[in-house]
Amino acid sequence: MITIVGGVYYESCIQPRWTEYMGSGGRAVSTIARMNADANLFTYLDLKTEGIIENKAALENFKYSGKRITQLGKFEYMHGLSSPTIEIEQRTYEPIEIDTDKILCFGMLEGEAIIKSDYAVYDPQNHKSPKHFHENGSNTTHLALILNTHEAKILSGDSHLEEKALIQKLVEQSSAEIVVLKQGPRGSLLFHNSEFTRIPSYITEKVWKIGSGDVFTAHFAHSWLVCGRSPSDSAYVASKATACYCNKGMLPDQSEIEKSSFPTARVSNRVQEGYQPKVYLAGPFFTLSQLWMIEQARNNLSSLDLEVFSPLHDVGRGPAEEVVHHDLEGIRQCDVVFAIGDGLDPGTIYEIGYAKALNKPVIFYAENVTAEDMKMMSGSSCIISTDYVSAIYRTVWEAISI
Amino acid sequence: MSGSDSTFTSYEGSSKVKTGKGNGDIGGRPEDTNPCLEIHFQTQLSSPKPDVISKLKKGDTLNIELRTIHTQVVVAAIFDEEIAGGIASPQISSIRECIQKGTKYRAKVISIHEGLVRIDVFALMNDE
Repeated sequence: MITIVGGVYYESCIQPRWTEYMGSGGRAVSTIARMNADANLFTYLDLKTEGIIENKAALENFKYSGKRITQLGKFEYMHGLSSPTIEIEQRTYEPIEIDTDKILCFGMLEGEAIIKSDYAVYDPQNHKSPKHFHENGSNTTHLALILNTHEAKILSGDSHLEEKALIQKLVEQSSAEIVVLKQGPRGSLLFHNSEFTRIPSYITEKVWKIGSGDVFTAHFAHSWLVCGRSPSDSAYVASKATACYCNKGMLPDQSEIEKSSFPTARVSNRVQEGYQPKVYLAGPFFTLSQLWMIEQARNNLSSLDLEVFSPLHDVGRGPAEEVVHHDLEGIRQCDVVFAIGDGLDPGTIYEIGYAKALNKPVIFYAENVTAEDMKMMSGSSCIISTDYVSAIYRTVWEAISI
Repeated sequence: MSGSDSTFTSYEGSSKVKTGKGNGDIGGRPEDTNPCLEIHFQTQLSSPKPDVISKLKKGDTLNIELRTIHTQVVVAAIFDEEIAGGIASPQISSIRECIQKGTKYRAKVISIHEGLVRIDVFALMNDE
């Protein structure tokens, strides 16, 4: 039996269209139940959501207890990499207190979980003000801290530390035995017994991003706390399970994880040594919707640690004789091209051809272009994706491998 | 393991049927209409069963039925006599009660993207 404490929220995404009652706690209990382990969720629930979770619990075979709140929180995403709009009650509820052997604990928005346990896996799940596990009086004998780089920087209070120093500082601050720094498409970095182990991510054709961090943490907890695997083996399993989830948007079972054979995302030596890959952002920027798309792609690629050359931002608008040679120089200097294909803008198509002539990898993202119109791209080894998030991830995987 | 105060309630192993409140309320309508027949919404198949949804295609019809799992009565989407998943909608309590009163529901598959199955849930008229 593993106890889980974490939020259940209404989550929705506009593109791809998707709605679910999940949250970190809800997703983790479903994840672990899918592995046929006994799982018991403690969370906050409003009256309207009780029936939904009751139904899910019976269908998926988990137990739950809900502390009553007035209104369930909502997370609304435009796409899988957008910052969600969060609707949450502006009040803090009484904490949930749990005394148990093994627990997976997520930070929550409605209130805190005060834990006494032998083993705890803790994921702060807070992009603004993450808290240390012990900060609210919780205590555990063995602590594994799992968090992303952004949360790690805020939690440590030092945004300038490189990854290993960042982890060392978190170990000192939190007394964690294990720290796993989640780094998205670059995999993760595990610290245990004074050693660092790099855990790869796996390349999938599609990337369903929402909830993938929860799935990683839940599988790590299941593997370490229920199956008794080592921390590094648990992180490997978690990474593979997360790839299965991302590829299908469904929680995998044991057999699917075992059968999966995704290629490992390779990180080149120069990137491991600190080189920041460059991506050329090709796409039209004549209308507001096109400008919005460029801005989204630029922000998302930058947030995944690529150096983005955007003709709009780095060259600007102007007559051909003033801008074109700068644009083409941008392509020559880049490692990879991310092209926005909807509308088949002539400038973008030219940039793709120019990049392919220089043997640059091109990721062609288009939701509304026919196969006939993509013939030249598909015939010249461009990576084609109709899904935005998948296209962004494929770009990162290409860029870090060079 | 313990909850911290008296508002902490456990629903493990229980099955409750409530009168709908709020969205999908089945009370307070004129007597000559049957609110159970007016329930119609689109949602996503929750708790999807991979072995079953792998057989689904756009346009397929599922039955929305009550099934007992262990001692729990659940609202389930059935395809070819197998549970394909559940319904994650606030209307679930209303549907449960309406099915118990005799209304039949179906769900049409609107779209499938790997594990993400969107369905259109509607009531069958009495003569269907």
